[in-house]
Amino acid sequence: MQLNSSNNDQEQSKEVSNSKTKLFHLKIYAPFNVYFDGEVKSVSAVNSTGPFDVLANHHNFLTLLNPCDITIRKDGDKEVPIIIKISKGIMQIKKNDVVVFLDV
Amino acid sequence: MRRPQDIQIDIDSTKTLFDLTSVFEGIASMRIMQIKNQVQQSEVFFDRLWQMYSQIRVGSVFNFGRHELDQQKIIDKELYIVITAEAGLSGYIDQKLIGWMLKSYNKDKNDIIVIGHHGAILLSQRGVAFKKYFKLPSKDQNINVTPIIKEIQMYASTVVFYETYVSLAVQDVKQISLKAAVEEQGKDAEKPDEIINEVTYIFEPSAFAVVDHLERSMMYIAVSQVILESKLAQYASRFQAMTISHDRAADTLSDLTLTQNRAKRAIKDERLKEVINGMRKASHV
Repeated sequence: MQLNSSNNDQEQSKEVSNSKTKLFHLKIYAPFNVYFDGEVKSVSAVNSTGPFDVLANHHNFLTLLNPCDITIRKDGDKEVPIIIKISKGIMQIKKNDVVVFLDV
Repeated sequence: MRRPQDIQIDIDSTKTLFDLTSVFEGIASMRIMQIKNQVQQSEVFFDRLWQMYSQIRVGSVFNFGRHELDQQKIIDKELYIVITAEAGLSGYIDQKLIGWMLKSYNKDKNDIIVIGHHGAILLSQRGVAFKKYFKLPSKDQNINVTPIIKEIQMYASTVVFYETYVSLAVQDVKQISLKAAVEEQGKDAEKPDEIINEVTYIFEPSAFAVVDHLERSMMYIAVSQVILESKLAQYASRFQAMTISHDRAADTLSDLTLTQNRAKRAIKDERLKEVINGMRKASHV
């Protein structure tokens, strides 16, 4: 019983920590294709300054992306990050809404 | 009268033509639907870019993304881009398009770039020199128009001549200034609710570089859209040609079947006559 209750506690604390993880909306698309559209924990890419990460509540930001792998981490540490290879693009961050325009 | 066996050979080949035109008609119709969907998707993408661009830019001058280019190197001519079919299947509409473009063409004021092999042939036949020729992209997605954009940036202005899709039965020719094409597409985008500047946003590498890039991107999409619309008109033209061929094949098939039945009937009548004549002769004897 004790073991069960500690397991329950762990699960509850995990749920609480997940709910605390702030998410934001990310859309990655090109004129003829949508590559990703959903809630994420973080996204990483590379611009002329170097690699950078975006978390929730990032300042409004507009940047030209260099050829790189865009790494998307969804909520949950065990999940394997999604990687999208790009040649060029534009990223706009506006009030927790991130849009990446590809192939332009 | 031809023998039924000979007519059967014609019927078989007409049946093949009938089936083939039906397949080509289906393919053309499918392509039309695909391209229509692509154009719609691309419009949504363009609207979002345009919205961002109109929030950033200062003034109303569309500069073809050439802030970094030496303004002295810009050729003081109007570039004509003509988009035709790759092969001669939409021959009539290509001729109409080339003829229309040449009405306003002046070799001292204009340079021509041709997209599509058929257009290049038609211009050569008329002895008109063109600066460059590009093959019409065979694929309908991710069309690489970068070499065309580079040419456009070198000229003071650009006019595109292309075929447009009105309906499955009607295709027309159109000319549009590229600057107007970009602004025309941006018209439908939602009006921006806020201004993007260096106080409210962080820019990397700089606001000018971003605006420049956006202008190139929107030109890229506008040129791709015009090529797609041209292809849509060409597919519609092919669809129409296939529908006409299919209907003609159906009529020919029906005529041939009728002729074959008549031939069969004539043979039977002939044999019947011979039998009756034979019986008559036998009864007299």
